Amino acid sequence: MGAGLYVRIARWHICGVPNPLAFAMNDFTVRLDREGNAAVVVIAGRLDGNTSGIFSRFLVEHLAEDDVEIVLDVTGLEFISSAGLREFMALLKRLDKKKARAAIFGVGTTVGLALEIVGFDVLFHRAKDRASAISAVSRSATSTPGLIGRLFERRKPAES
Amino acid sequence: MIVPSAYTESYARARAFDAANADLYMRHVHLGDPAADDVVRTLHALGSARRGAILQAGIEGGPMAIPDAPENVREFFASMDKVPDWYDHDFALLGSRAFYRNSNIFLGAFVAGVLTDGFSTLISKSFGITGMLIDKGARRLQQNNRHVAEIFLPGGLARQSDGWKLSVRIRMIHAQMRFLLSKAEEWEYDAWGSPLSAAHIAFGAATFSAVLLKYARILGAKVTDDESAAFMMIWRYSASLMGIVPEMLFENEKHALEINAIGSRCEPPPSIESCQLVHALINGGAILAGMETPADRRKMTKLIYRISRALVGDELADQLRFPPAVTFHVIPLWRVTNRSQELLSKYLPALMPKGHKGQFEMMLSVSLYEDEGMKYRVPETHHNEKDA
Repeated sequence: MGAGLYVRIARWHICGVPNPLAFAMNDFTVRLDREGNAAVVVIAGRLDGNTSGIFSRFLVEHLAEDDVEIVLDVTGLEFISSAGLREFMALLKRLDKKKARAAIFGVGTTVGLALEIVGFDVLFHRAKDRASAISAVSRSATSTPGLIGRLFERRKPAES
Repeated sequence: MIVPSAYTESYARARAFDAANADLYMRHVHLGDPAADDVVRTLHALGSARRGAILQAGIEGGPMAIPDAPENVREFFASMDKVPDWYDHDFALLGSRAFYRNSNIFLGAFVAGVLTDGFSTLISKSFGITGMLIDKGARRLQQNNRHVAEIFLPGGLARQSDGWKLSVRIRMIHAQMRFLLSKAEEWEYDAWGSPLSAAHIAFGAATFSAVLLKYARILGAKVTDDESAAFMMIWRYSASLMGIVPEMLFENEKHALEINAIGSRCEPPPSIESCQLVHALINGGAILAGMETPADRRKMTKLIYRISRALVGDELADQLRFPPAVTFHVIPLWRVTNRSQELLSKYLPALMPKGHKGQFEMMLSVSLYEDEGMKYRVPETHHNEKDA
């Protein structure tokens, strides 16, 4: 596993009142691991209206233009709000422009339900673990169905 | 019971229809939100900066986050941490699925129907004086959409979730507006009762939930009985967080429709402020729909007026001075369009590449997101020149 970059939200005070964001954001972390050609974004805690901006800036600052194999490790992600889903959508749009591949693994119940209910479960290749996620985004992997296959393609369940 | 003068005639007519519920409604026209109003009065004495910091901390972290705040403020936030016995997070998923499966239809029903119904009451006086909706119609719609998007996500009404916080934020903004308007020269208490009265907030919640569901079904949304019950339960919890007094909080869809019906009868005919508000919001809807040129915006606005007239009926549409339109074909056309899209999305998803997720993308594009995180600013003056 490559050296990780890590952002953690700290507690501070405003106007003599403990910063409330420290409660909500204390457990949000985002880290980038490099494994071979893959960039593995490890997200934990709550990705919501308070943390989505931090997540967005982290991606802009740490994902390189030539990163085209992206894996999201959401094993520790407890909750995702529409603000977090919006960041996922923005990330996928950026990746789509450069024909990059994205996979996700470690999807828990709440996050999985959110992805499914809003129809985002079709956007990512869902893998059962880190190794298979990295394998799925590898440029050597081929998995695009043909025209007929795409026409009738339904949502696929996760590998797990 | 003292009846505000603007209500005299309509209240008499409403009593002939349903005396008990008309009396219940009118008893709440003079009332605000006693618990939140008490908090706002207390915080007012502390000054703007400290008030903002306490509200921010209280909504984010509850009473533990505001150890030095006045006791009544801490008690207020503590009281909201308790989840009602009737709220079931697992059952709520049914409502979430129904909402997001039909979110485009719900958005259409909201802009074209619910806003028209919801702001045809005297609540428009409060929003008219502050300018909150008229000046920034599109932005207010975005805020409203964000609230709805959050409460319908799985876990969206859990204590630390954005849906919970936005519901409480709405309550505090209403309380602050009520506080400011009650001191404003323009407010005619004898004629209108309390600004943002308990009756109006309850009417609004009933309309934004049960009437939304009703209009969405008319426009072609397919929602099962269980899904409808779950949809209403989600709204009911959000409404209770928004401070609807227990006596006026709907229990289910039928009850919410009854509150809407008696409210519509008790309220006087739409005022000029209602007209301004509804027209501003309908125009805001066309902007939010991504219409870039004036010609496209006009076309979209015309369509919204048409659907709105078909949903709310000619009488209310004429009172609100909607442009005249023939509407007999509008609803069937919408239903056919929505149904065909649903079938294509289900059986030939590749022909509807955006399909289900496209609806959520639309929801994201018409909702408000701020990079600096969740803020709970409340208005400082009753003329709302700055954002809240």
